[in-house]
Amino acid sequence: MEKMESKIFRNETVIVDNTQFVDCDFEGASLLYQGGALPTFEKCKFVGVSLQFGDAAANTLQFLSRLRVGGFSPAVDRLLESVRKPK
Amino acid sequence: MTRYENQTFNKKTLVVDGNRYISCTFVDCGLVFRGGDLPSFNRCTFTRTQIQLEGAARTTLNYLTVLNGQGLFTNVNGVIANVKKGTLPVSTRPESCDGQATGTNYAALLGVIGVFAAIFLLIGVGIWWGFIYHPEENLLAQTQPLYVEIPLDVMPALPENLALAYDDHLEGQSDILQTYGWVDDEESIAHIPIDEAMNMMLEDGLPSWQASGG
Repeated sequence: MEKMESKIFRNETVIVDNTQFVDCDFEGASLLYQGGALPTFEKCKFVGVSLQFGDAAANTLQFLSRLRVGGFSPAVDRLLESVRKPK
Repeated sequence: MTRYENQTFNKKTLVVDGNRYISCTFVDCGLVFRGGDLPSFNRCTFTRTQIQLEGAARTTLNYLTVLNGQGLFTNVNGVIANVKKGTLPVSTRPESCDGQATGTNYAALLGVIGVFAAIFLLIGVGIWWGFIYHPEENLLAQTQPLYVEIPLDVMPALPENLALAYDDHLEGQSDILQTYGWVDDEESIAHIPIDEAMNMMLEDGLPSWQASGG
């Protein structure tokens, strides 16, 4: 896993897969996740960031969205709500 | 992509990535998605069927959980809302293009390579023959000078003393202007002093050569 430390990402797209961010600032950056190894964030600051998803991550969200339209809304909603619950 | 049509799946766990299901029945099944190509379900019925995410698909939800833990509630809520609405925040990067030539016709490939090799060989031989083997025949022999030199003996010879030559020439011309003489005996053409000629013109006007018969 790659380690990024004490860096400032300003107004750029940052691919976050398989990366350990430590003491980094994200200002107006776009975090792009593509379904790779889970990134970690320690002591990072986020200001005005946006999220983007590509490849497997985008497929996953699209899969859930289609399932929800196709009648699986309770199951999909349960999965989505699990995201907002602290582990 | 595997195509399943008119099949009944009972109490099975199915990895659905990239598959196409048409008129299938799922009873007490688990549909596993791992983040691969999207599956499609047409005219299928589902009874007590569960959804399971594994691999990259599971990691994607974990990623959202991580972001939520970092305080990006607004962003995560936005993603969830978009999934529910069907407007997804996918990457804006352009998708890669499919390969234009993916066949395995190696004979045709060799043929094309052979044609290109022949063309390059001909060009190489031409360059070698023209510029290395016979450069003097192809270049030097056909060249033309940019100008043609004029031999000096063709030009008029100048007098040794230009001032004396000019004075002699002026004296000769002055004599002709101030004296009487013949210009052409056979044609009876004579010249007269120019002052007299001017007086004659003032008194008589221009002479009529036609009337006087020359």
